[in-house]
Amino acid sequence: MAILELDRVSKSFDRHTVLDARQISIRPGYVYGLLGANGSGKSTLVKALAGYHAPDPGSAGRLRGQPIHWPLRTASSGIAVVPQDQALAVEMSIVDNFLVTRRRYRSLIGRVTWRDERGATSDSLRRVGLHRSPEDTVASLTAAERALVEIARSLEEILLTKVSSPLLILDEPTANLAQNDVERVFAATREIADQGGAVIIVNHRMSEVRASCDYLYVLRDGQVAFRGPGNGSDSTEVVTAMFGRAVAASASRMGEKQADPAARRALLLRLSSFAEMSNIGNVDVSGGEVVGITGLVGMGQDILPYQIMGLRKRKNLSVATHGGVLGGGPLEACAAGLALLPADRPTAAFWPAGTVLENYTIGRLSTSTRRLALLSGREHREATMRMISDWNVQADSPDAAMRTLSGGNQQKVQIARAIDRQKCTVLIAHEPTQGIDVAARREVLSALRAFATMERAVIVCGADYEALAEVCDRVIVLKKGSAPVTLCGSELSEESIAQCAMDTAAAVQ
Amino acid sequence: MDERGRTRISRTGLNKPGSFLRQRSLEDGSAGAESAGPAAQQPGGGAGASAAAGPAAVDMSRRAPSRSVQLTRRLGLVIFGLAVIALFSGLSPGAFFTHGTLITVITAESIPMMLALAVTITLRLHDLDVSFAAIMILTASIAGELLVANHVSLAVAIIVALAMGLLAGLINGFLVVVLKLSSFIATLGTMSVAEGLALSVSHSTILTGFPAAFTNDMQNGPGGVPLGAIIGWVLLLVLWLAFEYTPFGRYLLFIGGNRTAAELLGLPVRRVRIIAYAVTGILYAAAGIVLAGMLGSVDPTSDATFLLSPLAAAFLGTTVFQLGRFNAWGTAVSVYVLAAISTGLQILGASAWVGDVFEGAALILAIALSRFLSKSSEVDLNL
Repeated sequence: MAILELDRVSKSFDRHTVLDARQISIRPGYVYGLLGANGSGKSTLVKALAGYHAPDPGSAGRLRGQPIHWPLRTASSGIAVVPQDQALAVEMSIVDNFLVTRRRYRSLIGRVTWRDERGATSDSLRRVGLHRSPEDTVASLTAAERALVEIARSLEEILLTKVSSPLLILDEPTANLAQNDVERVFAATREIADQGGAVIIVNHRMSEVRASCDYLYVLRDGQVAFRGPGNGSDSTEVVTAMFGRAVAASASRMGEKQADPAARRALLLRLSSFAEMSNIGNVDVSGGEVVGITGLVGMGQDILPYQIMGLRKRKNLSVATHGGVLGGGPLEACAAGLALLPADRPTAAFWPAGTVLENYTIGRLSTSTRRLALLSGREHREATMRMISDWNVQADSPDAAMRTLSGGNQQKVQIARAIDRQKCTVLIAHEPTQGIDVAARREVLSALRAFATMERAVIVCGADYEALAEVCDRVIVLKKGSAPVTLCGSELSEESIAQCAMDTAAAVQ
Repeated sequence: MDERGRTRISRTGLNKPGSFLRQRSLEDGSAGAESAGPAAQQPGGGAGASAAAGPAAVDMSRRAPSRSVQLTRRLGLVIFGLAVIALFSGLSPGAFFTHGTLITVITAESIPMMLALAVTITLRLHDLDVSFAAIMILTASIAGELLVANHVSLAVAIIVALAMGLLAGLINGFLVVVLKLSSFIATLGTMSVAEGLALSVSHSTILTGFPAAFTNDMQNGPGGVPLGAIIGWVLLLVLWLAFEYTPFGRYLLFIGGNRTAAELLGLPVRRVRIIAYAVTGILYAAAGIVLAGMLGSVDPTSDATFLLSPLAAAFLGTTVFQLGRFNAWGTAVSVYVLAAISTGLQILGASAWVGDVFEGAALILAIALSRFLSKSSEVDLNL
């Protein structure tokens, strides 16, 4: 008998359906893979199973043979979700971390019975194949062992409810793990399945999932786009199911791309030997280029922009402009002509309580007027009004607080501000399309494309493969343990980037 | 220490009734001892309110179309201040609403005014500097020692005191900006160091016997308003212009609002912050010189007296004119509103302990009000 059978589960927010999946069946003794691109409804489904969301009326299914009454009650459902970010107290011992969720072995006066607690913890650890003393501190464990501790703790929680077959949902359990660690985690899931439980692994890395899962579900636009056995499925078929378009290669490109990559253009920026997670090798960025840098989560493309600017330690990264190798902080990088569009706008781009005018004109205060001259209110107001109408920014007035603007409008202001700077020659955009609507997305991408004139260039870092394929001349895909792959010309498409990024593990094997 | 023929004092001895002592000594210097209890307020509040009209009007035109509700919120504190004046005038007819009380309050508030304005600079950076009172007393002690014991010229004493203030500010700046220490903890440390140095410089005695020319100049001025108070008002105007109309003032707010963004935009974050601390150090020293001149004596242990009300005024200032922002006029109006209340209470015959309770309560209320009125965490500091 299946643990969980979902005839239909749907969820809408503001009449917008994000999930409408049918016919999902989870049986004991199997490991399942749940795949899907961003916004596919993957996390909504997980949250519904975790009891966090109540699905829409009409959702129906059976849990261990009994009809489900939504929302699921986590305490008795026998389902546990292990979150991506590790919820462990690092300085404490393993048994201490178990005690956070369990408090059973107490003597009469409420004293913790340590011997029993340690014994129970050891049993739980052994269940996932982890042979460590419960007294060890979490700090002494490897990343994989920490992941196993979390899995063991969640599993124990379910087993305490005395259900016959536990269902464990692992949300991106291997996102931050090295290859042999990934195998340890998958071995643990296999162990759980062999003991009569079931595991759902929510994952991005397709090759890992295909190798380790018995059965795959791929979600797209909230629906099940693909289902099939893990090993028997064709990887192209799965990627197509995830992204919906097998013909992504012919997706319309924006503007005029660099016709001849070999054409002599001014070299603006050189990055070399970046080894935070993977090796970037040498990347030369020349005038007129839009270069994408991507990879799976944790490959380093998310910290690279801040390392280039010098906000974070550069470690093994060397950043050279025509003025020489950069050694200092953002002040030096800005002077060398670099500008950054951070992904997290409220915390890294704006003074959220300041007005649009104040945020937009902050960069020109020292250039537009003489050093000791008073600020020209009228000049700044007119410039801000012009920017608001040029970029079609939805703002009540130049005096609206920056935090009241939507993500897309904030992004427009940010780009307008960066482009304003005469000195700016290399614009680094981190996830420029994150959190903005479709219309703003087009404007943002075409603005980035338009910025890359003869003597200026753009670097786009992020995981929006569709945007990268649309706007970039070439995309560098960072890989773990191997050289990055550069895609350009006709081989550059959303699908090819996705395939290249997800085949990381396969390349190693 | 007694060999120097001065009164030896204990730290605790003069701390407690500090505000009371301050009141009395200032009155001696200004209008005459008669108005000891009664301190004036009417024109104090009036001055604040009329002065406020200017920047408020500027601010309103600068802002989005504002409704009367918004106007009321922005000017709420001014309205409240006027109501307080009316209330105390009614409760103590003939004692509160008088010229003498006005002059007394303006005189008494000149030091808190200078300190509150100076501390507003670092608060705009969202840093909390608590060393201001101690540095002021230290520099006043240094100036006093030079003038009284070493008989140097007034100009030299003032220059040395300002230089010491600059040095203290640079030390604060080094700790907070270069070593990246929490501003509150670091300045708590420099506060204690400055307190100890003040005791050492003054040999734990109250410094008296300042040159009469110096004290007379400081205590008198056009229209009976002492020079010390006028210096505070000039500082108000200078800071207002600097805050609203120079890149530096805007940088202070932007860095306070989001330092990471400021750095990524290539703003000179370190330079601005260190200059801010250096300037505040000089201003603390200037307040110390004014203090020495207006009181005619320096009590090296009196710094705690000046600690709370400037902070309360600066925080309360974020609830008026520019909501959620530390601003010069808001700070200035708040100084006088708080003074109006405490003076009114004194005239009504409140005991000495009420002053301390009021100061503490005012600080807490000011922070709470600034929090709720700005409806954001904008006034939260980087502690």
